[in-house]
Amino acid sequence: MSFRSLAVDTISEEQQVLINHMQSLSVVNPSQSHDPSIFNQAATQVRALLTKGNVQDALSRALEVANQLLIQPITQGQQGGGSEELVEKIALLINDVLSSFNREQGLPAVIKNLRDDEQILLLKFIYYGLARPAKFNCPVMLNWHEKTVQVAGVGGIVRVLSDRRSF
Amino acid sequence: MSSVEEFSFPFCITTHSFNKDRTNWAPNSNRIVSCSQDKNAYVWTLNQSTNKWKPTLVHLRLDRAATQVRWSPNEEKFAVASSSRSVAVCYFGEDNDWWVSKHIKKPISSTVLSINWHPNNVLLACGGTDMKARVFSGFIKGVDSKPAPSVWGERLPFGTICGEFESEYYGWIHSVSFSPDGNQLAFVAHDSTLTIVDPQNNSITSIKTSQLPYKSLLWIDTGRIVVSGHDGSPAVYIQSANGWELSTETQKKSSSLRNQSPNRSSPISKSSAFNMFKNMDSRMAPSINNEDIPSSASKTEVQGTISELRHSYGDQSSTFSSSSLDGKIVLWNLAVY
Repeated sequence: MSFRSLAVDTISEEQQVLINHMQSLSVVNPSQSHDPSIFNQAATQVRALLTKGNVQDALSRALEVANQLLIQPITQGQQGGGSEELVEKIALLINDVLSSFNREQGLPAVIKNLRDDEQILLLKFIYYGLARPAKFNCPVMLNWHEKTVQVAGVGGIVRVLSDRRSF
Repeated sequence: MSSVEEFSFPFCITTHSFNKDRTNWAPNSNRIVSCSQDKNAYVWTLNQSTNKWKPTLVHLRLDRAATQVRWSPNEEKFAVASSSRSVAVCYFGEDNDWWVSKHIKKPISSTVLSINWHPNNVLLACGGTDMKARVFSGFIKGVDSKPAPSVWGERLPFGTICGEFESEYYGWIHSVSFSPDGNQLAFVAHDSTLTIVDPQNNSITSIKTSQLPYKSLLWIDTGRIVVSGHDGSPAVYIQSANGWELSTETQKKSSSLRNQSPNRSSPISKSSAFNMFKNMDSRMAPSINNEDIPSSASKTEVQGTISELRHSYGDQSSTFSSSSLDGKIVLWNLAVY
């Protein structure tokens, strides 16, 4: 009957390691500061590409900077992530890119040109936007969501849900 | 595949006091081991003269549920995975005339969902809700003879960690298994990925499927893996010159993806959040075309999630069995798939 005296709330050494590991995967990390020039430079480039009507490259560039600032440091095992503010700034930038694309038929092609991990990252930003309808363009987000899921499949949604590097 | 046969139940395991029984049959020594949420395991032997199965309790020493049990290939040991963040390696202690256990604890930090033996009877792969798949040594002094050096290591005292892996998007590990030659390890996780680890070539392949997560995997041979899970019918991955890929044989178009809009009487259309999104979306009418989504789901007998795949006894090169949540056991033959 040893299980009767089992203290279910104690956190063992191994569980603490797991908890620390899960926390280290969090993208929102207020203590982390970034050189604002990296984002600003990328934002300028994205807007320049949008003026030329090059949505494909604009989206790739926006996702690249998101990956570089938010995801990559975590994958490489460093203290990663960024502040809430940075996440929102990047999300708004991506929102601008998505909103500027209004030709329905070319959309799947744009998504197919993204790498697997970029599609997942895009989905994360779409969910981020949909959760904040006051600030983001939700009809556009829904449309992109539909097309992204057609390319990445329900597996893409599952990966966004299970990924700890979320925001 | 299409014939339905009637089976009778010669005996029923009734000793466990909780549900979720797991069993494993040792074909050569004709023994069954069963384990359950009641923290116990029994080894069942057939009494030839009375033709009755008799249980022997295993000295398991677990304080939480047993989740999975597997005989080692030589049937001298078995391993029990459990929620008490450990794997119990059990062997028959001649001194006590009893099945006794040794526990692998560190560094497992959550429930173990899946275990499988290496063909050398010593190494053990396990994976679970701590999002890690690990390779351990289950070497028992006095039972095992010293194993030959393998890609997983040379000196292997009990409990040695020989490898630790994560799926690409940090999912729970549902199933782990060594390749038949023991040189590779594959696991499926709840992030809809299949990962194949090949220490010999120092490579880790992560396959991201477009489907729902796989629950179970089975090596058919060193170049073929069958997987199945929440999407119903099994899919086959083969190793080709381009690496691992979904076999085209099983890559059939899905005809019935659950993507119809809910009907008016369903609770979902009464939901205000649903209607809010619906109104927002009204300017961009959806045109869902599921034919674009590649899927291995084909119209088969299996309607529910496949919870487990097993080799069938006998010809293992092309046949296997699946058990699913719709209450069916299906025998599959890859040759006629």
